[in-house]
Amino acid sequence: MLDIHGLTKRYNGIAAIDGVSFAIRPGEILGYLGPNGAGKSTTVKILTGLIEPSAGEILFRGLNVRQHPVAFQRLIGYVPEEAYVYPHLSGREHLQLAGRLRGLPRRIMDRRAEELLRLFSLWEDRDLPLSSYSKGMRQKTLFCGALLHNPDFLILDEPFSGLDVHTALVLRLLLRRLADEGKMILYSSHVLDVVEKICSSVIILRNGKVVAADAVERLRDLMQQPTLEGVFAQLTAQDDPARLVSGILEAIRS
Amino acid sequence: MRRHFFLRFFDSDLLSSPGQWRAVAIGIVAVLLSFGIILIPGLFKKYLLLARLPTPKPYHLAMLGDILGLILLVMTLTGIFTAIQWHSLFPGLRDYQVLAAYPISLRDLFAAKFTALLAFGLLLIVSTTLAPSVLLPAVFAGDYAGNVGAQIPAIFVSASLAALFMFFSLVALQGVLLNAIPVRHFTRISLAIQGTLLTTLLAGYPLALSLVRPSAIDHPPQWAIWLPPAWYLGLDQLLAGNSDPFTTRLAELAVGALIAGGAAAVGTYCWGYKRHRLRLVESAAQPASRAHLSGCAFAPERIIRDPRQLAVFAFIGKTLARSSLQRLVLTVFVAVAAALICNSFASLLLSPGMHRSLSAARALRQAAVAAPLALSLFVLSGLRYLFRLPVEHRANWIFRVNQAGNEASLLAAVERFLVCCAVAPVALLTLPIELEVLGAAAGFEAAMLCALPSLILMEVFLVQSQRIPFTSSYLPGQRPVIQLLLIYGAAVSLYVSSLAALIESSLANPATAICLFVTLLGAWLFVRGSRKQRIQTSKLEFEELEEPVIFSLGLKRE
Repeated sequence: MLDIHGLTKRYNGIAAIDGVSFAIRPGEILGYLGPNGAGKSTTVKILTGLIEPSAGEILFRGLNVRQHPVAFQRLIGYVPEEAYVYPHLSGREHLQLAGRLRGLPRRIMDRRAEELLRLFSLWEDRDLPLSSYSKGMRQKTLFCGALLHNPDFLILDEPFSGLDVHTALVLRLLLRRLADEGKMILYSSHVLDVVEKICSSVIILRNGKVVAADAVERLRDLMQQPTLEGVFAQLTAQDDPARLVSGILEAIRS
Repeated sequence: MRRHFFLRFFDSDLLSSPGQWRAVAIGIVAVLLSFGIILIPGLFKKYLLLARLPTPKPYHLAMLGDILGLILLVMTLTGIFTAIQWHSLFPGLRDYQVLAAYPISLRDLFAAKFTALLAFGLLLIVSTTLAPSVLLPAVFAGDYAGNVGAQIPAIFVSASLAALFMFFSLVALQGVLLNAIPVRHFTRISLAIQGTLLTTLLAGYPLALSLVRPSAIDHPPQWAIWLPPAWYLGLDQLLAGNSDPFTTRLAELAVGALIAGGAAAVGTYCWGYKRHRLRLVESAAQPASRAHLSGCAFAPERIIRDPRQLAVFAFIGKTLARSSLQRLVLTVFVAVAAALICNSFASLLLSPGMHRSLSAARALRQAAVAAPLALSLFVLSGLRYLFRLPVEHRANWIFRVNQAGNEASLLAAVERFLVCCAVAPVALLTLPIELEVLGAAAGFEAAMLCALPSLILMEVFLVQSQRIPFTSSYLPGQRPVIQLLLIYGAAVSLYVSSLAALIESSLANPATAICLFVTLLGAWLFVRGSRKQRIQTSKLEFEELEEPVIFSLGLKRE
């Protein structure tokens, strides 16, 4: 189980996230939602060790992550928000890099990489540089890299970005199966209908603070909204879309 | 658009932060102007001595030699700058992509690019030739000098036209390549030609200078008619008032070559501008061939067992092999080292009575010892600089999420790479020179003694940066160009010349050689131990920090 207590990150005194607390249990897919700038990516970066928190505690199976970062990082798989990869490496070389950095023995890494590349339909293009891959192909490569070492905790930041319908469907089923095997999954996204379909519970952030944390059905009941989108709009108090559209049209006509 | 293209020539990620083109432009012009000023004091003394001789002939030959040297220098500098800008000579893929949505015709785009290129070339040439054209005739002033007033415009015009000829020739060369080479081969061939040009120009200049002998100037051989610098020397002489038939012939060739070069440059621009866009856009959509990737593949698995070390080692190798910018920068550093080595050997071997003189023989032995030191200095400096340049900086997350607890292992790969791909190859490549000049036993002894300073230098570089190559951000322009040149000058003088003299003198006495070996070995082990200790207490760097002095002032870069 992953427990987060009072996680705070300040940049020059301004809080990007402020006292965020939540927990993920084995077998749970937690949707992590919020408008742009709410602090989702900051939380993900803290969990992956890319940035240090200003305050707060992260416990993984009772172990303090800040005191034992190596043990924690061995157990996580990460798909970043943007598909930033080294463009001169091929798809296979990216997986070799990821596997080697995870310390996987060569025999296991090669076998898994080959199977994943075949299953994600990347085998034909395995030796082409990533610069020639489409966005969806890069995203699939990143997924392969995150799964290569069979992690216990998956951190996914907008993972379906650029994927075709079929691959997105496969991955949705895959995430469900991984959760059934007892893995923990943090799923950060803006695509609310996908979150509604695959996440058992959600956290909604606004201005760096948690404004809602519960099961999707319970939130819908509590807020008396038919969809998660309605719940989200009500909690994050976004501007009226119709009024914004009118403003844009007026601006380009003036 | 013309202004945009012109400023882009100075907007290099290697030299400055984006938008700081003024700093780069002023730096380049200042360095070029300084060249002329630096050369003057030495020349002044030379001409003072020559003026005391009873006949004017040596004085005149020296004048011609120096004018030819200047023409060679400005041609080389122009060639180097043009070769560095090789990929900016024609509009690039980014230009087409960014400007695609705007109502700009292809002809306007090419015209803007060509005029910006011409303006850049002229600025470069005038900056290079202006100061020497005034200062060199000022040094010539004396009884034997003749009409010095006529020499100022003559040198300026001939040197500028020589540089312009070089500039047009290279533009035309790329134009021909763009139109003649198939799309799938263009990038590879173009890169190879760029590297060859840089190496030839950097290493060839001192060699060519060594070949300019007074006898050849006094009685120029017939084949001089095939040498472009000789044409422009002829033009200079014609403009200064010497109109003998051979000089006139050379001057005619100079003017003809310039017109032909300019016409070829304009012609290739006009010839290929429609096809150029098509080729560039199509080649961008084509993936690199598998053969290219597999050809660059390393096989470090055989020597490295730790998977994390292997990851970093293979990453460095593949990045160096496949990134054109990295290869270009390394080529420049290696070419400078080759130029130094060529120059030292050429000046010794071509000096009269070299084989008879004892001091000349010793100088040759020192040059043999200096070769590995010079090469290691420039290869290691080049790699150190290259390693600081990021390649897709935002992709470094893959290292950052895996760094905890693995710092020592990841950095050990960098050390291993430098030993395997810099220190050891340099020692092996220069071993034949040492064996040939020093003999078998002394050659091996010198190779061992030279390898240790390379290892110490490598440790000094490694201790300064706790980072995985190509993964950290880079703040360019932290030191002015002139300061950098002075640092390298001092390093060559101290590390190469002094150490070469020390090692060469120790070879005669086994006890001294052993003492030196033990001292160097001890120094290497000490520096290495200190670095290893530091790794255990610090984290890897992924962001380049400001200079400490900036921190202390409480200032931050925007």
